[in-house]
Amino acid sequence: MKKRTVVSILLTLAMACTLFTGCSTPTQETSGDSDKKEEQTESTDKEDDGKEESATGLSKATILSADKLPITGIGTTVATDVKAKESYKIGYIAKNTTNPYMNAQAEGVKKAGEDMGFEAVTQAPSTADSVEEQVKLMEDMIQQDMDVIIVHCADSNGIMPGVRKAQEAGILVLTIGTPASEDTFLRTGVDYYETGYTIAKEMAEELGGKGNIIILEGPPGAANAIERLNGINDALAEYPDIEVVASQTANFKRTEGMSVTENLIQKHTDIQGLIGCNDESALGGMQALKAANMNDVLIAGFDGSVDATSAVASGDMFATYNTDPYGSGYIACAYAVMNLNDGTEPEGKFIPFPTAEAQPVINSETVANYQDNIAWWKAVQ
Amino acid sequence: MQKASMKQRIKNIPPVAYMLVVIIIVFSFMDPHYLSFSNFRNVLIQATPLMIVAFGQTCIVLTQGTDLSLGAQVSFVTVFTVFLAQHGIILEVAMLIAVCTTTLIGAVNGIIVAKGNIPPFIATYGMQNIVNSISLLLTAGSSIYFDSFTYRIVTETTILFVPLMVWVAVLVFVLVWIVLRKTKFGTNIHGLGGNREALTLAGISPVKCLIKTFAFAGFIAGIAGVITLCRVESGQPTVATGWEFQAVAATLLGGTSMREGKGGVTGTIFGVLLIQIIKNGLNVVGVQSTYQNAIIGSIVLAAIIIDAVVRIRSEK
Repeated sequence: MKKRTVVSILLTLAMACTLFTGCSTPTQETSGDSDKKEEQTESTDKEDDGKEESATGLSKATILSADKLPITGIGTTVATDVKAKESYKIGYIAKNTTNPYMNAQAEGVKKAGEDMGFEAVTQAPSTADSVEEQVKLMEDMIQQDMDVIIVHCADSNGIMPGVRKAQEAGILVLTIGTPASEDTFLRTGVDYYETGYTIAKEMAEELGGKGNIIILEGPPGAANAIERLNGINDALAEYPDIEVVASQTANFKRTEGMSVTENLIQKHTDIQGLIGCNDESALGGMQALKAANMNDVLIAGFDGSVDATSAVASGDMFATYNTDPYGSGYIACAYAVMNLNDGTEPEGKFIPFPTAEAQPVINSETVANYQDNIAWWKAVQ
Repeated sequence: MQKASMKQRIKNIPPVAYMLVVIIIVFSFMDPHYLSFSNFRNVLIQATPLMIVAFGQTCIVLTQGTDLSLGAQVSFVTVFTVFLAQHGIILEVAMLIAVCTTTLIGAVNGIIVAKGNIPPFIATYGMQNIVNSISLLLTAGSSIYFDSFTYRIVTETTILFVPLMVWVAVLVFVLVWIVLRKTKFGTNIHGLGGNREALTLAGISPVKCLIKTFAFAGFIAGIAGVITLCRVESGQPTVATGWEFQAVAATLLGGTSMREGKGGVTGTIFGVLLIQIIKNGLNVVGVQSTYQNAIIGSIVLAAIIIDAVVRIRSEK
């Protein structure tokens, strides 16, 4: 009995120790860790495939000029000449139903169904961002004899069993945003690295190449958040007089963006810029800065959401990036239908949309046009 | 005498089972794709990981407790196994080590609950957070990956048209059933929930028994974790978030009572199948995911209300 008590106490202590060491690790280091991990997996992937591929083991982005794309426009202005020649069923699986971004993507797929003439079925896991449920949804869609499955993966590796089953059943698989860990028929949606690089560069230029910047990262480890963060850091590294004074996660959430920023500005009082890795966290940061009367700080985010664009219009935010879920869903369908019609293969395995040519940056100059004509969120309002 | 046992038997079939039949009939009228063998197999595959967790949870519920750390333990096994494999340990051995670890975590849960006389809800809630945190630390938040063919042996080898992973669930079911019905330990588990004083009077330590029960649930969660790992082929720190609650719901739906130490794993099968069949059916029929949770919630509530009505009536 006594022995057992001792063992149990030791065990509890050991667990408690892990907890404390976990907590005392500075967040910056953790982010560095995740970068390192990322590099490690990247390098191992490289060894697997000697082919001409990007660091992640997936095909590099093939950037097409606007006239080569099967659709025209961006956001709610998208249109296409592609028409389904037979009756097709296309299934779309979102990451969740709690984010307007995902809902807009589903709307884009539905709109494509109306325009191109196919049956669109849209689904999302009932537990937000659950890749395990996404696999279930894929299995259910295979059951429904879908011709195509378009999926916004919650996780690159975790989605693979579903992808394989679909491909074995002869179903085309397309991914938007986060790719599957192996090449599928096509990946589209934004190139997260590119978005981060573009926005950070805009901000650095506006700051005249010098200043202190806070970054609010996405959820630790989320592939899209890491790619975007790498883009931001690479762009800022080109400006030696710009210093990233703090880079912490706000988990893509407004409340966390606010509290993290509140905490950070206690220590860092001299701040010229804040980049949130999505609009929500940036808006949270904005509220915190406003409350502290730090009104000169440039704030940037990503996605071009309703609130962020009105903040850009009112001058509270500096810029955001139209990651256009609506158009991404639409273009994915266009490629799928073209292939079903006559076997047309896309020009690459990863065709980003929207590209720089579509001028996705939303700042004080472009915001009015975006709000009036383009904004993807108009599709879900 | 015989009449009474017949009545008893009918009473023993949880109302959920009838509900299941009704739902299957409704869905099969709604979509021709629904009632097919391959779809039924899909449901079984999809239900397997939760099913195994729920078997463990049933044991805990029988002792009047809940183990909120089971979901976290499942996620932890997927992560820890891959983590060990990445550091050079053979995958299968890593799986074993991970299962042993969750058994240990379960034992720690039991020790805290039993020795400290702490409500299981709060003790295991604490453990859930600790385990989740460790999973996140091991992976730096993302998913981790280790390539192996073993996963596909588990998910794709079929025996009698059903994948190996489903047979694992069957084995676990048989194990838990035997433990609960045929062993002293099982009788004691029922006793913990039904009449703890009688247990003490009989000279059995409730503390030891509780610790064993939690360790047993941890062990089963470990198996569920290995199956989940084979299914998602990667270490996912948040893959099983919320499963502990679904497992509790399935257990209660299956007729296991939180008050009297009555019930068992057979009912739990129906509980899990009900949840899974509704989900699968709504997907195949093509119901918008926005409405799905509301429908699932309503059906679960309806089932539990029918269950309560039936029980109250039979008591009268």
